[in-house]
Amino acid sequence: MQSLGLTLLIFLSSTQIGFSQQVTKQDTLKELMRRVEILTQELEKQKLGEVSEPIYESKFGMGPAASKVYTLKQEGVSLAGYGEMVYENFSDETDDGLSSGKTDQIDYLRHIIYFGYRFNDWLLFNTEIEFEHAKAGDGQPGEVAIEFGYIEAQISSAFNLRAGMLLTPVGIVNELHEPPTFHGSLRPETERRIIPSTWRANGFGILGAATNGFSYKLYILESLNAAKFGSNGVRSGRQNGAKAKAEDFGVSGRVNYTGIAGLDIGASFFSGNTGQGLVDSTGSNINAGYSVFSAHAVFARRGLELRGLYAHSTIDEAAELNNVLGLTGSSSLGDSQSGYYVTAGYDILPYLVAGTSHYLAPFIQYEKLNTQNEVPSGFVKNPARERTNISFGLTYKPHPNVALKLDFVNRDNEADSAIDQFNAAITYLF
Amino acid sequence: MNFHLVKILVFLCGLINAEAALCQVFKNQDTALKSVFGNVADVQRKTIFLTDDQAAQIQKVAKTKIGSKIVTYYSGLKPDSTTAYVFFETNIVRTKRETFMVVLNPDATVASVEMLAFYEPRDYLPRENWFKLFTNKFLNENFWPKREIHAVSGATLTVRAVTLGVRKIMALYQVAIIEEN
Repeated sequence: MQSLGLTLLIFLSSTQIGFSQQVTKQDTLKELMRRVEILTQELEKQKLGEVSEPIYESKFGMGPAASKVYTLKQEGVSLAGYGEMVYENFSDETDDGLSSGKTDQIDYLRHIIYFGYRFNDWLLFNTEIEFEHAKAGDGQPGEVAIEFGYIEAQISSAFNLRAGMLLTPVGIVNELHEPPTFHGSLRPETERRIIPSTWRANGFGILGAATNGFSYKLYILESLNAAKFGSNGVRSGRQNGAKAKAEDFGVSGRVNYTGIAGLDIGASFFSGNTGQGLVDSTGSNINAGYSVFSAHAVFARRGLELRGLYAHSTIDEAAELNNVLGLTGSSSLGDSQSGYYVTAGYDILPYLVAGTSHYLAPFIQYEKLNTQNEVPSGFVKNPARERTNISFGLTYKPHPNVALKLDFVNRDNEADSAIDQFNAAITYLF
Repeated sequence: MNFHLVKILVFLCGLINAEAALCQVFKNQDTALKSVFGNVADVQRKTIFLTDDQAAQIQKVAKTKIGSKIVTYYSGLKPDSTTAYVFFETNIVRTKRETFMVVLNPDATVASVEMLAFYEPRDYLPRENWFKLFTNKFLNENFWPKREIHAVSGATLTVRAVTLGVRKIMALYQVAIIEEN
């Protein structure tokens, strides 16, 4: 833009040959100044875009506000993404001294491409395409999946519409899972087993924000499929919008408050039947009502970052499901599941290197979860499902969008069969 | 399936009036200038053509690159009879633009920062309270995200883009306006 302006300036200056010999140098200078002023106004207009244009102006005989759409430019395509490579080094032994049998692993865990298109000033499409485990195909560990893909109608700041494949708005990580945004190479286990992130489903809903710091989302979504539930949680019951059974739908919503600088506090839920047409031995439908509730708080001020989440879920008719799914003894579904974690980190680098824009934060995370809080009568709990994880490590960011992570996870469970692990990760977003 | 909820949604959709439709431009330049100066008749529009030395000095002080050596700003008296210097900054957040206004006091402190247009998803836009963090701040080594400027969950790139833009304008004011005058 600058070079264009200067080129035009030189061109316009060269046209001075059209001036009469009688024109004084002062007149020439005045004319040049006028042209420079016009050029700078044009440059400023280009730089500011629609901000430089009048907002309220009637067009085509319509009212000023209704005419706004005619003053806007088409925004077109957007491209962004994130990814992570994770190295996991497992302990050779479980907590009770047996061989862990685990093989260390390094995995290009995921690379994601966000692709969006703005149709006009109020309608847009946005999608997240995920490539997992580096290589997909027959016999390969990877997969390609759509994580979300929706049309959004931006009606007002307080009321907007979304429809398509949506991220279930429960917890923190499910919607905000770009790796540089959280500490630790792995997502908190509570947000994988109690809240089955990344949890996406087809549906539609409304969302918006008030001026006082409150925002909301309320969706109707395809529900989970109870036929895939297990003692380790509902994670396998996600249908991921892929030819999903649609006998049962659920309602999901969240409320957030961000009215205080640095604070994000919220509550969220999902509730719906998950039977998806499952019947018992007598041919009666099993509704398998499932609900999960979560409350969270994130606080960031100066170098300090605090984060905490609690989640609790219930499965109705767990005994009937056990019978239909052939789950016996300690393989039972839990009537209820719960978990929580708290994380604290602090950027210490400004104390070591004055004026640095880099970031180095030690962090610690304490987490407790159980996917079998209670089991139906006649079944027993598996003590391995009651877990406590303590993680600590470092997050280094040479740039806010690039995070290198080193951490150790001390895992414990009531069966003493947990396996500790050391992790390293390279993560990015753009 | 809660069909009552569907009915409510359909009803709410029916209430939507086209004139209520908002877009990603919150305020245009004229309105923004009026909000600072009130009467804009006496506001002066000025353009600076930075020298190479000035550009280098600004980048050194701001610790960020300047996109152009042509800078336009507005100066005039506010309703309280104090002078204000107004700059408009446009940059890229993630893949889309934002434009915000920075108002400086004569002593080089920030009077206000206000987002005028934001083309990224609104999830990435910090609340209004966050922009007040800049008020009365001066350019120093702690004028960075997660130091004097608090981080905002989910809006990391916006926080960085705005902070760098404000740093650049403050450095420009120090190098090309105060020192030149």
